[in-house]
Amino acid sequence: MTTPLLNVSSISKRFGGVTAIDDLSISLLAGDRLGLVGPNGAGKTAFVNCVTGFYTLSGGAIHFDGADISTLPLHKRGRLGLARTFQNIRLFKRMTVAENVACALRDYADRPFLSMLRFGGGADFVKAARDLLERVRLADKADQLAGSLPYGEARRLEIARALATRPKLLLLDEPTAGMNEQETQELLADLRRNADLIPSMIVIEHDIAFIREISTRVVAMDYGRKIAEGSADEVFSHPQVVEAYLGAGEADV
Amino acid sequence: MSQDLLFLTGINILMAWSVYIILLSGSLSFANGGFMALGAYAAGVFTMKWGMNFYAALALAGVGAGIVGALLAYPALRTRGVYLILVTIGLSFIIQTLIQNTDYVGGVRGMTGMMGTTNWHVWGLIAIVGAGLYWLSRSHLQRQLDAVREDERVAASLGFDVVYLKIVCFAAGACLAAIAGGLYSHYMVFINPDHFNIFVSIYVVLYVVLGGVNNLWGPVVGASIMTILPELVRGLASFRPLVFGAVIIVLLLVRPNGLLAMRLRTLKADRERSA
Repeated sequence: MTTPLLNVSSISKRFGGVTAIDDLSISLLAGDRLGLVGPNGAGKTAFVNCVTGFYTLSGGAIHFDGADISTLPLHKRGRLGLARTFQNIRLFKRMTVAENVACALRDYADRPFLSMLRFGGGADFVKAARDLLERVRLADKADQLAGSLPYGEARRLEIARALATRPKLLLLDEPTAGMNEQETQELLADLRRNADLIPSMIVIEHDIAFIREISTRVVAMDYGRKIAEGSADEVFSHPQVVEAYLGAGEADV
Repeated sequence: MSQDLLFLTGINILMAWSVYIILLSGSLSFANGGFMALGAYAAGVFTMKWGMNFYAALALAGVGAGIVGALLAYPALRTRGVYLILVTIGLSFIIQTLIQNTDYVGGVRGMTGMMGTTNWHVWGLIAIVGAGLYWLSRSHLQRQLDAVREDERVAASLGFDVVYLKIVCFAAGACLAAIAGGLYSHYMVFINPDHFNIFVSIYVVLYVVLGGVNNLWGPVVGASIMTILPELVRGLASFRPLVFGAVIIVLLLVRPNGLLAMRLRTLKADRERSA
């Protein structure tokens, strides 16, 4: 039996009296593309925050790539190969599009001051950043300020920035939020085209068609708990999932 | 311009850069007057009481203040924003009070006899530090520092050790402020703890804010203007604080982001357009 890439075992996250995540266990094998669904407030983003280190756990443990990362600070989790995007886009707005990607490149990651030994932006930094920008169709905007990008492009830049860290696991938090049907299809194509840089992935999404297309496996959450797990068909026909999305059937009232 | 004004302008540029270096990682320090005092006194003790060579004294004072800065930064940087500012103000007071109560360096009466600094030293150091900051401004490290300044948490999630970057910047800023202090004391001959009160720290931050915080030239412009302009009304000595205050208000109204507000880009991705 192979050990999972990510093993989240009965974690919980409480804010005062509010429980955002309640005894949640999820595991993921290398190569998995996990879709995470559930109504607003189900704890999906809190889960991503717990895994990537933005939240400290109230209980439970998280193992990633064989190491216990439960209490590791943000930057160590990033270096181990976790990268994410944000539901409310968080780009470095006053830096250029290319700089947003270039700053995240792995070179000198552990010894930032060694990069001072070289003068200039560095041709290889520029090339690596351009390559990534071409992969997400942003190469022609490379020298614009990131803050000037329209919504859809800002989302793609966030993905490129995450990919610049060469992640083992990419976590996307509602990548198609606010996108129209065409943009959603283009993003799907982007993710497929760049599959070579995305060894494993967790996607939070409300767009069920998108989840069906992208995921190998789906987990549904509600009230901070896992309520269903399996293939997309299994999960989306699960009575508890239907109830969570549509409310209790009138027959029950 | 008189030798003394040239010297003061130079010292203030170095001090402004010492604040700028700390600000590179997103922390605003009001402790640099304190680090300047540490350097002024330490270098003075090294040359006068221990008979050390002037340059060695400056270097040792700088390294010492850098180490002190790093040790103080570690707990201080657990706080953020306005709290960090208050902590650094506290540091300024602590350093001044410690010196006032240390008889070995003369206490409140001060210390005298330091000599040897010329304008060549000051402006030579400005050339060296300026070249270093220009080098930095085009580097990968600058990009990472800019990212930290924009969003610490996101920068950390990309793998940057934000605490380490902040501590090194804080230590480097403390080091430069101390060397500036050493140069200052060996030019002024006489110093006392009052020369390094909290206003020194506040003025230096003002130079940077007024000049512009986003590039290395801003602090130079801010420090130069705010040192030279009040001197021009020297005849009206009692009006100097008034001129100083008026310049601050006018600048903040006209250029709220500083005189030189633009950020320098660390790379040009479009070779055709940049060529």
